[in-house]
Amino acid sequence: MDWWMWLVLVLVIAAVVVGGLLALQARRRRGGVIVGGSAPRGKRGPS
Amino acid sequence: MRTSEISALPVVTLAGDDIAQVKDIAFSGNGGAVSGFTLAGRGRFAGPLKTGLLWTKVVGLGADAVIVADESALDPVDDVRRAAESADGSGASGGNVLGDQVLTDGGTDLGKVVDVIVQFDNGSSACDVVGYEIEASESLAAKASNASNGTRLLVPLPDTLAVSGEHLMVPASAEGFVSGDLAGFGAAVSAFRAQLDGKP
Repeated sequence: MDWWMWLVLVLVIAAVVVGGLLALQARRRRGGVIVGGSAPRGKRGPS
Repeated sequence: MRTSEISALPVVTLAGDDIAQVKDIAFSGNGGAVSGFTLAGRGRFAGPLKTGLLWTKVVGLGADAVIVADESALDPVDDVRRAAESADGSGASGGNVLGDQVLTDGGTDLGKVVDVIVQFDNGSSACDVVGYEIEASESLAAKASNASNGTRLLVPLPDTLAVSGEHLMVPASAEGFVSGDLAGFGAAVSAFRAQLDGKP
């Protein structure tokens, strides 16, 4: 493989990793409206 | 006020320090009283905090910030969750109501919750959930004027809420008080609750 193909590959992997981390962080910080205040129901519960 | 307008507001002390931001709004399933907020740290990479803010410690809530006296106003987040639990335990199911289906006690699907409406008065002790903003179902859109499937409408709630699993129950008569306008929604809530209480 040419050097520029390696460069593209590394850039794509870096973009996917950074995007995934940002999405995960946005999900952790996303707010909701919780009723009862007891344990969350999982899929949309607070973290 | 919509809860989406409260979520992510900075929590600021009277000294001007920005100490956290609102993450979740917690309310009681029995009565709809807002007990407080769970918090996240400030900054893009900060996660949820182990401290929360009880409504009783809020000095002021506005369009741009939640004001507290000082950093000691924050309590463990479990205290906020505990305060939101129903006195008799009957109304509490826990979890996020956003995305839940709203059903009448007559079995009609009104739509899915996209936001929650709270009413408060700075200086008074109470902050209550008074309605849901929903994406109208086909059946509700057919009954409401100027509405189509997916139109956002406001549904008033009774004093005592019923929350079970992923369904939020409202009296069938709430359909008659559905509104598309937040400005006139307070009057719709009052009229709906007066009707439930048997007042003219």
